[in-house]
Amino acid sequence: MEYQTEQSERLAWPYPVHYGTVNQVQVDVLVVGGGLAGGCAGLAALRRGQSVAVADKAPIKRSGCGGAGMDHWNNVLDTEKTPMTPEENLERGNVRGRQGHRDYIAVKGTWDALMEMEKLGLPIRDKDGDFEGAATLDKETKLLKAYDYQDLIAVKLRGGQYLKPVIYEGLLREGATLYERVMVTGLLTEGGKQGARVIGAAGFSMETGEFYEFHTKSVVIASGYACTIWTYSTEITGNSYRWDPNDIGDGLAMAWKAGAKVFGMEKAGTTSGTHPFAWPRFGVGNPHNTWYPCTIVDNNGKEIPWEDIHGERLKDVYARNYPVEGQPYCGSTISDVWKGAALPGLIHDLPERIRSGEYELPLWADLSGMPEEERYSIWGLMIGNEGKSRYTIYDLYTREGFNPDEDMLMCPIMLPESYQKSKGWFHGEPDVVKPWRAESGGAQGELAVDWNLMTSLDGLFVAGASSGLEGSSYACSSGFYAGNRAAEFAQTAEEAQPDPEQVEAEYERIYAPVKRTGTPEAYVSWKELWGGSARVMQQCCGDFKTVPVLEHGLKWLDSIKKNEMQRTYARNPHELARVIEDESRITISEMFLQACIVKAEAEKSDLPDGTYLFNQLIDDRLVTTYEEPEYWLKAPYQDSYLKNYRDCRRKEEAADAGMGEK
Amino acid sequence: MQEWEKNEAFIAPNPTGPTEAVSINTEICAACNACANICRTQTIMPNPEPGKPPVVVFPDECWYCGSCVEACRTGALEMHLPINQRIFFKRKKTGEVFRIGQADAPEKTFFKEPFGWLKEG
Repeated sequence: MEYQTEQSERLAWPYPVHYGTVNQVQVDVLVVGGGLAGGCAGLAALRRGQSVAVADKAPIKRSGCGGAGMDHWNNVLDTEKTPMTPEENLERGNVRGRQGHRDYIAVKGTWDALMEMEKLGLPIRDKDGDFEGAATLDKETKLLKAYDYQDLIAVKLRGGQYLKPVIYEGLLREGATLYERVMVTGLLTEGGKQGARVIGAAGFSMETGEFYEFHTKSVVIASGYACTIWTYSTEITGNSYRWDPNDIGDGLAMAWKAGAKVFGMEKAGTTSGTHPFAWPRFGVGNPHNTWYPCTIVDNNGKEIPWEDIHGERLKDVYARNYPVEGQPYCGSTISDVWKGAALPGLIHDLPERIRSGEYELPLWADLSGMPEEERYSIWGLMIGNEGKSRYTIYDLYTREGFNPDEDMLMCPIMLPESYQKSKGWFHGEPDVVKPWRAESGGAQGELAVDWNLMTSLDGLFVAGASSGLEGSSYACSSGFYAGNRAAEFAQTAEEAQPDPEQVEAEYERIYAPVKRTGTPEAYVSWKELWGGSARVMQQCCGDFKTVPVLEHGLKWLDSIKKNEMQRTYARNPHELARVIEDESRITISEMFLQACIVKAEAEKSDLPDGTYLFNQLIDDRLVTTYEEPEYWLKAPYQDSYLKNYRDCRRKEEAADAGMGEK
Repeated sequence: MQEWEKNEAFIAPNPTGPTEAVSINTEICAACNACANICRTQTIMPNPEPGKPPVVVFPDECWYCGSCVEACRTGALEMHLPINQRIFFKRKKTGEVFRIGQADAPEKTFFKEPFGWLKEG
C-alpha cells in the first residue's frame, strides 16, 4: 500500500493501545538513551554486577547518532606511542571554557574503549591486507590512521558500520533489560524534591502508550544533545541532519527540572548539522571530515592546491596527512593563517581567487585523481562505514551509476567565503544562529559534572553528548566511565520509594495531550508547536543578544506554555512522544535564554575573565553559581589530572583484579 | 476504463515532503516487519493487517540512516533522496554530467563492498 499517495482511510494503530496502564520496573541502574554512550554505560554497569535497564525511544541495535555507523574514532591520545599525552594536550590550553576534567576523562579512555569494541567483534584491523603498503596503514597495529599518517591519533573505523550492533549484542549477552521505544520523560527524586537524590524515572511506550515507572539506585543520562531548538524541520530535510532526530535534549530537560546544574548554555547557538537547507551528509564533494583529504578541482578541471597550517603549499596528496615541523600531530596546532585550522586544507585565499575568476564554480571532488588506496579509503572505508552514507550514498549513488574510478562529485555551490568556513567543510548549510561566547563548540547544552561524571544530583550520571562529549570515541569512553561510577554508586545506595505525588504529576503531564484530543480546543499539532518555540529562539536568541530581547523570549515562551501547549493534540503514542518532545524543547529554550541573561549580566559585573557559570533550579527559582578556571584541580579535588582520575577508578581497578566485589 | 477516465477526485490531506524517502517493493516483501522494527522514527510501521507489507507512514521524519534497508532480507527496500538533495556527478573522461535520480542514469559499474563489511546471518 502506498500510504502517502493512496491514502483514503485512516489505518488502525498496529499495536494494542493501553494508555495509563502502569508498569513498575525495579532495577539497579537505569540508562536513559541507549546510543553509543548509553550502550557502553550499560555494559560497564552490568560487568560490575548491577541489574541494568536501558530505555530508548528507538530500537537499540541501531539507535542514536552513531547507531547507523561510524567512520572515525578520534583522539587516541593515551597509548605508549602517542606523540602527546592527554595531560600535555590539556596543558596547551585547550580547556578554556570547557569542563577540562570531563574532556580528560573522555580522552583517557578512547584507546581502551576501541580495544573493547574489537573484543565485542568490531573488525577494526586491516586483516585482509586491503591497505598493505598504504600510507594510511599503521604497520604495527594494522589499524588505519586518519588525518595524521605519522602517528596513530585518529582511526579510520574499518567495520564502523557495526559499532552499534556489537554493543547491542554485548548488552543482550550480559543480561541488560532493554526498553525499546520507551520514552523516559521525567526523573523521580527522593521525597519528590528538586535537588534531591535521583531514585527513578517515569516514561511511556511509543507503541502501546503504557506508563513506565522505573525504581532505581542510579541513573545515567545519555540522550544526546539538545538539537532542533532553533530550527523547525521544513519536512524536506532529507539526509541532511547530522544528529539523530530523537536528540531533542529530553535528558537535559528532565535533569534540569530535577535540579541538576547545567553549564555553558549561554553558548546558545545551532551547530552545523541541524539545518534544513543542507545536502545529504557526506553526499556532496568535500575535502574534509569523512572526505579528508579529497582532491578538489574547479569547473574546468583545474586542481585547487592544498597548503599546510602556515600557508605553505603542499607538493602532493600524501603531504596532506603529515604535521608541519614542530607540530606534535595533525590537528594539534592552531594555524596563524587560517583561523581555526589545525589540519592542512585548501589554500586559504581560495575565496578571493574564486571571486577574481581564477577558479570557476562549481567545484568537484575528484576521487579518481587520487592514488587508488586514498580513493578507496574515502569511498569504501569512510563513506562505506559512516552511518548516514552507507546506504543512502554508497549504495544509492553507485546504483545511479556513480563510479569513484571515473566520476567527480559536485560540491555545493556557496558564497566563496563559505569554502573556507568550518575548516573547509562543504555542506551548503547557512548557520542559523552562531554559538555565542563560545571558544570551542558544544553549543547544544551540557550537564555539569564532577570527576565521577556525576551531575550535581546524587545518583544522576551523564555520558556522551548530554555532557558535551560528542563523537564515537568520546561517547564510548565516557559511557564506560559513567557506567562504572553509576554502578559503584548503586552498590552502596539505599533503596527509596518514589514520591506518589511526583509520579502522579508526571503521569498527568504525559497523558494530558491524549485526554484533550478530540475536543474543539485541542487544535494544535506537534509540528506547529515546534515551529512556534523555534520562532521564539530565532527572534529572541539570535546572533545579537540583549537582555530585554532575551527576557521577551522568556515571556513569549511562557505565553505559549499557557496557551498553545495546552491545546496540542496527540492521536497516537507516536504523536504523544512528539508533543512531549516539544515540551522538552520549550524547557531547553528557557534554559538557553536564562543562561544568556545570566552571562550578559555577569559581563557587566567585576567577575574575573574566564569565570565558570553554572545554572540550576532550587525551589523552581534560577540560581547561578561560580567557579574559577581549573576548579577541577582545586580542593576538594587533587591538584593533578592523573591523581583525580586514578582515585575515581580505584574501585574499578580492584574489581578488575577480582578483589572485594560481589 | 482507465482510472483517470472515471473522472473521480477526492479531498485528501496534503502530502508530506519528501513523498517517498524509502520505498517497499510489495512484490518481494516478506511482510516480516524487520524494517518497521528497526526504524528509529517509526517512519515505517507494521501493517495493521498481519501478513501485509509494512507502511511508510512518516517519510517526513526519516533520517535516511538506511537501517531498514539493512534489515530487509529480501532486498525489497530502496532509499530515495528528495529532489532538493540530488547532486550531480561528472564523468571525467567524457565531461558528461548526470544527476542522482535521473531516469536514464548510466549503468552501475562499481561493485566493491565497503571495507570491514560483515555478512549478517
